[in-house]
Amino acid sequence: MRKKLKKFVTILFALTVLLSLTSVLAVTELETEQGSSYQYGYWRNVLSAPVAYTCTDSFSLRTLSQASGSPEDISIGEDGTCYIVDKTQNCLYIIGPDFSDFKIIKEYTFEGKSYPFNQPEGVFALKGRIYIANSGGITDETKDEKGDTTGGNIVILDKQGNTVKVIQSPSLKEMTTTIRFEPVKVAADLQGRLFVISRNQTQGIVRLTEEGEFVGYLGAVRVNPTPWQLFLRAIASDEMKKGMLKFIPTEYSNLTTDSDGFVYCVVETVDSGDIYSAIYGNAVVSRLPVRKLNSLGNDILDIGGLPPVGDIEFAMYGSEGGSSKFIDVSVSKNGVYSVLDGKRNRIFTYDTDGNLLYVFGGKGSGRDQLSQPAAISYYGDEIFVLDKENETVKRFSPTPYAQSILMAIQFHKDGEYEKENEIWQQIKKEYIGSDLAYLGIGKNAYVNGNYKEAMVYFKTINDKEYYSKAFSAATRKTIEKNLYWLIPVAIASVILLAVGIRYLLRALLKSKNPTLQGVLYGGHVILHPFDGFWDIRHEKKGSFLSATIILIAAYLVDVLFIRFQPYIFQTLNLDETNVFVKGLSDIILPVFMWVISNWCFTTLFDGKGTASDIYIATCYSLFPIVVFMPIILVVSQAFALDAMPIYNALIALVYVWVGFMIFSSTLTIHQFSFLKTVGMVILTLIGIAVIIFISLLCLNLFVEIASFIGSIYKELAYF
Amino acid sequence: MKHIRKLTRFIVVIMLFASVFTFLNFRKSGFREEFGATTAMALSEREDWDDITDFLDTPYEAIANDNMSVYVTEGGGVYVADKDENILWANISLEDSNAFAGDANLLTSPFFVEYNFQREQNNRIYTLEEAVERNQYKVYLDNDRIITEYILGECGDLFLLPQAIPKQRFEEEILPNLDETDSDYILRRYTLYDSTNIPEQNRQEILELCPGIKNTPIYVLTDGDSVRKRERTAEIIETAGYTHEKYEEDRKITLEKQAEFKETFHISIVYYLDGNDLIVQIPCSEIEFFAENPLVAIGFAQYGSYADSEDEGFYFLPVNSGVIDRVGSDYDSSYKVNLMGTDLVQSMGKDLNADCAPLPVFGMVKNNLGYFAIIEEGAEITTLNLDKAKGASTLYPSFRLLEHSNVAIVTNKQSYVYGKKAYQGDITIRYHFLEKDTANYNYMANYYREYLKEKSVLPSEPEDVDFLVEVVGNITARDTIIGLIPIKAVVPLTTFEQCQEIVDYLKNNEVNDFALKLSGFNKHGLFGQTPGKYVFENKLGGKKIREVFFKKMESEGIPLYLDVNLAFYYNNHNFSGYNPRKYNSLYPNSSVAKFTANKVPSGLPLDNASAIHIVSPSKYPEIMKKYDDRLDKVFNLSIGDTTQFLNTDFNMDDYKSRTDTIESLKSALGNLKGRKVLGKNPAGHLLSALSLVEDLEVKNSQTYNFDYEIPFVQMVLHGSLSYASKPINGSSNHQEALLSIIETGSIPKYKLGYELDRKIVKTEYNYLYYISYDEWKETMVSDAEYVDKALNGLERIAIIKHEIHGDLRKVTYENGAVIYVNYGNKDISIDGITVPAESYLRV
Repeated sequence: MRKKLKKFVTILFALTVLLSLTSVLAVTELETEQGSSYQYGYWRNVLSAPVAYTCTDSFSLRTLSQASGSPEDISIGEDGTCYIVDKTQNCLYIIGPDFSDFKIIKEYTFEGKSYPFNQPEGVFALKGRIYIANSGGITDETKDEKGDTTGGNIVILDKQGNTVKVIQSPSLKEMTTTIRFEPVKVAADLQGRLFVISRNQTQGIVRLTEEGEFVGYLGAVRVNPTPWQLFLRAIASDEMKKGMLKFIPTEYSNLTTDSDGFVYCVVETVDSGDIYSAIYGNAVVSRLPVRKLNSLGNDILDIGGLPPVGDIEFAMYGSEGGSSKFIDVSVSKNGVYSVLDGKRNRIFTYDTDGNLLYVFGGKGSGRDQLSQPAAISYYGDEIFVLDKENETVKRFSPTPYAQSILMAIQFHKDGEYEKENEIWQQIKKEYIGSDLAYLGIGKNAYVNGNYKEAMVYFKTINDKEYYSKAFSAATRKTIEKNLYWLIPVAIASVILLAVGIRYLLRALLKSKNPTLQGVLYGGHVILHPFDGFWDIRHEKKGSFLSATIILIAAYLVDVLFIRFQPYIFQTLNLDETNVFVKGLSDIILPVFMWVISNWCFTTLFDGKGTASDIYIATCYSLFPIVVFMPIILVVSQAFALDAMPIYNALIALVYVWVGFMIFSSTLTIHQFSFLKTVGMVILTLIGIAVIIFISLLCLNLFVEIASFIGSIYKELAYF
Repeated sequence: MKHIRKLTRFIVVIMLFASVFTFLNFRKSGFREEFGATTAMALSEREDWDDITDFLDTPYEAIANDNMSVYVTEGGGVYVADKDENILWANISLEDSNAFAGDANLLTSPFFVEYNFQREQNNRIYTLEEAVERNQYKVYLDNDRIITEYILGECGDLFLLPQAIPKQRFEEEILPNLDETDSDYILRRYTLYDSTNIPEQNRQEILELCPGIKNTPIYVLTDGDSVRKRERTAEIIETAGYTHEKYEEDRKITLEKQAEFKETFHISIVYYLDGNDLIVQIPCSEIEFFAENPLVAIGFAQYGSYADSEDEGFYFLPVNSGVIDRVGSDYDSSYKVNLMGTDLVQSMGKDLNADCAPLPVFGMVKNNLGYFAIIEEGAEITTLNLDKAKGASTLYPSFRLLEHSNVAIVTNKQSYVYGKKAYQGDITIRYHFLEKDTANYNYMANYYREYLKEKSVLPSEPEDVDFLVEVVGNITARDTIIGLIPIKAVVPLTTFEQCQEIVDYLKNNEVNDFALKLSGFNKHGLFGQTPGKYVFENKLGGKKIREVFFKKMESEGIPLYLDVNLAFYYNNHNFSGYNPRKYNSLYPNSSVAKFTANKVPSGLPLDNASAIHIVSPSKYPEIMKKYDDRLDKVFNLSIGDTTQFLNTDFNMDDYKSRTDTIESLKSALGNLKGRKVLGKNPAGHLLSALSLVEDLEVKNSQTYNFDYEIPFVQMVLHGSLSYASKPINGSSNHQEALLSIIETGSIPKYKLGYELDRKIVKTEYNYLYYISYDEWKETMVSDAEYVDKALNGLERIAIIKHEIHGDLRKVTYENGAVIYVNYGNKDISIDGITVPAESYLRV
């Protein structure tokens, strides 16, 4: 029997290793075959996607001014007029719709005098008014006592370029700051209230009334130091603290307003590490690079499946490495907003729920590419992009694909779900990878009561929230429909099952096979661990073989659990995961590492147990997994997403039980005191960490040696 | 213990295997010093050069015919003028050499030379500075051909001027033959030194120059810095009877080393008229250079394409289907494109997305004058360069005579590695001049089409195909065994029976003259094919089903194209029998040529990506022969990707230059037994070999924003060689795609998969997101009808005129048919008719 088992284990092991080695080789094809745009899938994977926007026209500012300038910001008026401010040329370009005619405004009027623009950096057009953030302000006339200029100003012009109003810097005292008011970006709402980003001002966006009175700050960029940063600061000396970065709030880099008066703003300086954690962990809202502020300054931006951070996949290092750096944002009429990534010159567009709709742009000199974009602005569904390096304005128009998406969103907003559904069906035809289309069609099916169909759509795109809703609704519907026979059948099934189990257990207990008895003794051990482990060690109630069977059973249960746990609780990508290997790393490997490490330390500290005892006891400790995990697996099939806390608690309970069993086995087998056992457990865990470290070291060494041999050969081959 | 021993043995064996594998990945080659016939040059004849250019009374009318004259100017510049003295073309600036804010040298020299210095530096030198100013050039006429010869780079004085002369010779044979003035002059130039009076400050220098001074007193040239003094001194010495023979004798005593000038290049250019065309020829086999500093490239005739902001006109480049760009510029920029296909071996896989420039032509129109250039020989080594700086611009070709690449051989050391032989053919450019009515791209296209027909390069008539359907057979994708273990499995997208259904559907809906392309019907799916082998995937239909299908296709006369791998092998499965060390090209650093494509957003390698192997061009004939021998005769072959690239092989034991690759490809395709060939790129060298072109579209460069895209290639091909569009169903603007097909006279193409479902999103084939047959079948038929209605009867008629009027395109056919295509969203009135928005009108 033992020999057979050994053989079985060997074959199982070999098979598992072999299967895990079956390299799932993927194909790569010449990039010319791939679509030129992309999307991100649920598993953060890159998908080819149809082209959403193409450049349909461009205009070179060099035709207006021969000298080279530095255009900083663009805004499009309601009539399609393009307003651009140039920081070097100190002017405002007004370019008519379709780049037809143009005007250059270099001066404005204040208190009856004309002043030249002085480093204008921001422009915003709304309702026939043009707001200019003139960061240099009036240079020579108004100086304060120290001889410094009092700061920049906001110049408000009408469509023809005539000065309507000039808002001078509010007093610094009023603003409770010592930092010079230097407006670099400006936006206004329909009531004429102003929102200004002032350079080096970290208290938030400066809010001014229509008359230019300072109201307060909006949405300071809070800094949330990580626990690690806090820990380092706590243990650092005063000298070290000086060298550390202060937790200073960062500045906004650009802003705009939408028709409802919400302020959208972007932060360029968000750390790539924070973005990475937002993508792969929980999104910390205050660290995201785009925000939607209400009048209280609270961020109310909705986040879809993946946070709106631009590129989800990026190299961490290298010239093209790092997360997207948002330098501008613009909102279209239906709440869809686009952000400009100054890192890789791409434009990402999101809907109001934070779903990524499409991506376009890219670094380069091609027609649809951008050399050094500085700002974007919506005009209808078109997006105008200001390219600073070439001093060019590019007009990007939506392709029918993007038009369809925007239309579907509009229909949804207007409550015309039938029309919306038709469009999503059309998009699905053109782009089978469109999560949005599946979501839209799924929602429509849900609204129409086709829950099962909706479930299929939601499951396809891994939208667990909607799937769970559809699942609950479908279950409810099924129960309501079949209530008259479902309850008697359920009761009968439970009774039958209970009787069956009871009968089976009795039959098993009657068996005289010592191995089987040994395995079943696990039932006693989990209820009476101290007694049980004592008997295993001293009364030989358990055997090596029985322990191994329990280990294999735990392994198989784990494998089944990983594979068949309810879809809504599944966190693994099963297409990519070899569950047998996952089971090895969940159960088998930890057990062996525990046994080795525990044996190493307990022999040093006069532990009474042998390696065999430790192995047997550890395997018996896994018995709760064998018994309870299948029950959880069956019961949880009826759970919806709301039941996630219960589901997690049940699993945690099993593992706490296993942990307690392991602890008590260590205490009993080695005959340690309680405190000594605690110490030994800690030492064992440290030992496991050392084993992992040494294994990785060896692996690394092997790779280094192979690379070294390769280099030597290469050099010998040439010289 | 026993187990541990076993385990150790196992690990050692694995390590050994890994090491051996690492070794085998590098094939031994090392550097090579040979460059074919081009070796160190002898400059022995250069003494004859001083009086050659004397005949020039510049500008000198060297050759002429009834319509034009070719003049030669000082410095070997050549220009062409018509009878009204309009200058049509010039290869050096005639007026303002500093006009170009970019590299002004580009305008003042007929050509420049690029060479490598000590394998590490790439230097560029121009004829004006390096040959003309040194007086190292000559111009002469030979049978109505103007020949200009240049030696670029320093190659010593043209006069005999020894650095040191032994005392005895100087005092006994030179001084006595001179009068007092000359004698004084020469004694002021030379100083007598023996071992005792060498000045300390010059000691080292003098001893290096003449180590023999220790035994014999010697006169050393100490005052000869200026050219005038050196020339006068040499003249006096020569008058005194000093000869080369005597100099050689003296060198045995003084041990003066002969100066070495290894950065010198000897090149000649031939100009002659052929009718009204100017032919410019560079005989490359006669080019001389020193192997230590090899000449790698020549750039030619930049002034001919120069224009500044006041000029009006455009450049024409054959990028994709053709682009034109206004002369002058708003901002500084530069653009390069290799003609006839990119080389993934030299670029080590980096040029994967470079633009394609299929035809060896370029042109320019400036102020109603212009030229159209055809590179008749050497197109495969040609790069077109467009330089723009501060309002001015120039377009010029350069030629890579020696394939080279700057690579890291060992860590942290970049070196130039060269191909084994330099280009040995001639470079020949035909300049056809344009005036007023002919100064446009329509004339260029018509001229080139007639030129190709005259040379019998273009097929006489196109294939009888009105519609192209590409069907994808199967792909490989992740699947699981009972939902537990992920494996790679075959996912059928279209079986042969479903293929038949598609064919029947098309026939039933009166789409008749179509061709069918089968992609990925082999084992291991799309790209999984080992070059030379083709095993049909049984899941798509057994042998009987297949044969029934093939027979039916044959009986119904539907051309069947089978997609085969020739230039690439996609390593997507194990145990394929493909041996990269045997079949792959070698990179310049001698590693086996393979690369991994990167993901668009991040530039990171594709997940789980295995390499794309570049097959050596030397294997093309063998691979094609295998396909030809093994495949059913019903199949024509589709070699799409191969036609887009022109790869070299740096395996020095069997080196293949791009010229060799063309030969290899021609041989591979030429030996096919009655099979037709489908390609993606109608490159100049493939025109006679292809019967159908696919995925030809009018598009701008991927890296440069040209002002307009034009269907130049289509204008050349229409009526002779059939070409299909990119798949219409893959376009993000369906109507625009249809209109583009009508504008360019293309065959509409659809790409289909019968059982496409969302699973494809999880695969690397997610770019096939659009190919679902069920979704498209009805649209496909209506599209075929829509295009057929527009283009019916024009298949064999040439397009003679293409005009751009804002959003409207007007296309005129040779038979007078006119098609207006309106891409805009508003109706447009033109020529008294109104073309509806986003529609077309055939008149």
